[in-house]
Amino acid sequence: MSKKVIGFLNLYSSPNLGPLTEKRTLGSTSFLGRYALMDFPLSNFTNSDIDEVNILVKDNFRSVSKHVGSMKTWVNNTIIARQNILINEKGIRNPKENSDLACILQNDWVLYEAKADLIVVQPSHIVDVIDFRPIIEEHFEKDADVTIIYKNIDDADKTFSSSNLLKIEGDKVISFKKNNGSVKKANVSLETYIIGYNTLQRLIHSSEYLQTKSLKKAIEKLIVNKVARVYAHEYKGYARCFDTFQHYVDYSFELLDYNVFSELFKHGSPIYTLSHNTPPTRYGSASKISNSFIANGSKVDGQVKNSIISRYVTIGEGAVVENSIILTGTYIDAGAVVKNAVVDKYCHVTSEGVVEGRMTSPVYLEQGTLIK
Amino acid sequence: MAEKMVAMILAGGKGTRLEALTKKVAKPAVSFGAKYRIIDFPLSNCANSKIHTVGVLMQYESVALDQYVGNGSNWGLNGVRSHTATLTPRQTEEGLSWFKGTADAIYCNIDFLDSCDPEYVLILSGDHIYCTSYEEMLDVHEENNADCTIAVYRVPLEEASRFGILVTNENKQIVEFQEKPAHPTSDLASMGIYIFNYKTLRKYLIEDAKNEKSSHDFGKDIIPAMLNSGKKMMAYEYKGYWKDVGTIASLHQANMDLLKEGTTIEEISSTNRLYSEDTNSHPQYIGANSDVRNSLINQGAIVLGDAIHSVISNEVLIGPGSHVENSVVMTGAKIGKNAKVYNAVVAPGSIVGEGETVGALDGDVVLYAKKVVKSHE
Repeated sequence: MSKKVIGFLNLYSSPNLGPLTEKRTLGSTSFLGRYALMDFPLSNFTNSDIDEVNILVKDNFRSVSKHVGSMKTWVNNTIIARQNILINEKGIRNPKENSDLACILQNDWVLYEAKADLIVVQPSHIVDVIDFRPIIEEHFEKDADVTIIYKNIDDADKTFSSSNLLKIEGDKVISFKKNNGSVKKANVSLETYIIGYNTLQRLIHSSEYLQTKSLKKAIEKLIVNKVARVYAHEYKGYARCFDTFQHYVDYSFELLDYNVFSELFKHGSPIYTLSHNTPPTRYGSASKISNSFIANGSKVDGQVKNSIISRYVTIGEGAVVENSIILTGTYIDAGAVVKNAVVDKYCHVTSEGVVEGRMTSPVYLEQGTLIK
Repeated sequence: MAEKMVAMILAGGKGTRLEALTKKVAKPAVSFGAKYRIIDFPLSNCANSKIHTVGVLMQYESVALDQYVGNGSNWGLNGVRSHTATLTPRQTEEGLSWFKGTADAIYCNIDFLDSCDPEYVLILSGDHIYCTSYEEMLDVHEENNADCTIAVYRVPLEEASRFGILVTNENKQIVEFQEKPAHPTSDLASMGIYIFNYKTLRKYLIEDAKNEKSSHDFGKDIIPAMLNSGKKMMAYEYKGYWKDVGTIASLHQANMDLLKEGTTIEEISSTNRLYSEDTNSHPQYIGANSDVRNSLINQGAIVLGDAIHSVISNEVLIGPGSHVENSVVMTGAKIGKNAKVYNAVVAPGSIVGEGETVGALDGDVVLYAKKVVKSHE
C-alpha cells in the first residue's frame, strides 16, 4: 500500500537578511528576477508528487499570502491537492512560546485530516533541488523515525551558519549539533527532514521536546536521548544557504555562471512560480546587455552588465546598471548610474541619480526610494 | 443559466500559406510575439470582455490546439461561471462529417449553443492579431436593435478588392456586401467578427444547412442572405491595431511590428491585457559577449550570440558567435555556434547548424524548418 506523504514548508527557520527582509519573509523574497525563494522547496514538493503542503508561517503573513495565493501554482492535481497556510494564533499573542513545533501542535488537525504516514519538512532559506521519492522509499526500507538530508561541504566555516552538523556512523546520525564555524569540511544539515507520523506526534505532545522551541533542537534531543532511529541521507546537488544579505547577493550572481545555473535548473525539475502574464522583455535600439538575467515585462534601453533585472523594470537610454540586483517595478531613467547595488521594488533613480556601492559591500535601496 | 453572449472561435483552418509552420499544428496555435500563440489574442479578448462561455471550433490538426486551449485556464476562462469547450467534428446518428464551412461549423454545434441559451453569439476568427474588448461592439449592437453587427476595418481603397467589403449608410447600417469586389465602393473591410442575435442566427443556419448549393460560409452565404431579407445589420468600426497573418511574410511583418514604437505589445494591448500559457521557464539569460538590440525576448531564452531587431521565444538557444537579425525565432529553436540568420522565421524546435547561414540581409523573408528527428524505436 502506498504511504501518504505531506509536506511542511517551515518558514520559522528563516534568517533575517536585514532591511531586505524587514517587510517580507525570506521565502517570499525575490530571487533571480523571477522567483521567490520559497518557489524552490514548493517545486521540490510538486516534482516529488507531494500535493498536500502546509506552510508554517511565523511572521510577515502578508508577503506569504500574496505570493502563494490559492497555491494552485504548485499542485499536480487541482482537486486532490490540499494546501494550508498555518499560523500559530496562540503564538501571536505570546511570541515567547511561538515556535515551529508549537505551530504544528496548534494545527495538528492537519496531521489527523491528512492521515499522513510521513511528513517532509523543508526550509525556505536553503535552496536545493531534491526528488524526495527515492529518499522516502529508503526511509521506509530502513524503518527510520527521522531521515536528515545533508550535504558534505568544504566551507562550513563560512556558510550554513545556522544549520546543524551531522556526525554519522554507518548511515545513522550519532550527533547533530549547531555549526559553530570551527570546521571547514563538514556534513551540514539542509534542515530538510523526513519524519514519521508517530515521531512528529511525540515531538509536539511531549513537553520535553516542545520546550526545545524548535524542530531542529527537538531532533537533536531525540539523537542525544537515543530514543529514535535517525538516519542520514547525503544529497550531492546544488545547495546554498541564504543566511546573510551578502550570501543572497553572492549566490544570486554566482548563478550567472552557466555551470552553476545548470545545477539548479535541471531538465525534468521545473521551478514553478506565480504567473504574472507579463509580455516578453523589450530591448531598445541602443541597449547593451551582457551576462545578465532579465525578467519579462521589462523595457531596457540602457546598459546592463553582470546584473539581475526583475519584472517591469524600465532602464532608460544611456543608463548604466552594473553588478546589481533590481527588483520589480523600478525605474532607472536615462543617464542614471546604478553599480554594486540591490534596489528594492518600485524605486526610481532619476537621470541625474547615482547609486553606487562597493563590489564587496553592495548598497541597498529600500522599497519605493526616490534618488534624484 | 442563460448567458448574455457566448463566443465561438473559428479555429479549424489549416493556414496552408504558413507552409511548414502549420504542418503539425493548426494556424491559431502558431507562435507569435516571442511568448504567445495567435489564439491567445481572441481568447484574451473574450476574457477582457467578461465573456464566460467560449466554444473553440477545431478541425485541422486539433490535438495540439486542444492541448493548448485545454479548459481555458490560461485565460481564466475556467472559473465557476466560465466554460471553455473545444468543439471538433463528431460522429452522430446521421454519421460522421467534417465541418463544410464556417457557418456549418456553428450549425453542427447548435446543440451546444442551445444548452448555453445565449441572447447573442459572437463569432470570432482564431487567427487575427488584435487586442480589444467586445463590450463596446455589443453596446452598438444593442443600441441599434440590430440582428447582426459586423466589425470593420478601414483599408486603403486600392487594396479593398482583397477583402469582403461592406457598404454602409450614414447611420453605419450595412446596405451592401461585396465579396472581393473588382471595383470596391467602400473601404470598410469585414474583419470576420460578428455579433448575432442567437435566435436569428439559429434560423439562418438551419436554412443554410438545407441549401445544397450553399458553401456554408458566413461571408459568402449567411451575411448576404440576411442582408437580402432586410435584416438590420450594423457596421462597427475597429480602429486599433489589427493584422490577419496569413502568410510567412505577413507573420514575419506582424512580429516585426512589435519592435516599432506605436505597435509594441504594451501599446496594442493597452488596458486589454494579453494572457498566455506559463511555460515554467527559467529566467532569460544574455551572455557576456552578446549584442542584443531592438528585440523582444521571452523568458527561458539563452542568448550567447547576437539578437538584432528580432523576436526570440522561450527555450531558444542562440549559440556563441552567432548572429540573428530581422528574424523570428520560435520556441525551442537552436541557433548553432557562428551561424547567421537573416530575415527568417525559424520554426519551433528547428536547429540551425554550426556556421550555417539562413536567409540574406537584403533578401526576402524565408522560413527555416528543420528538426532532428527523434527515433522512438
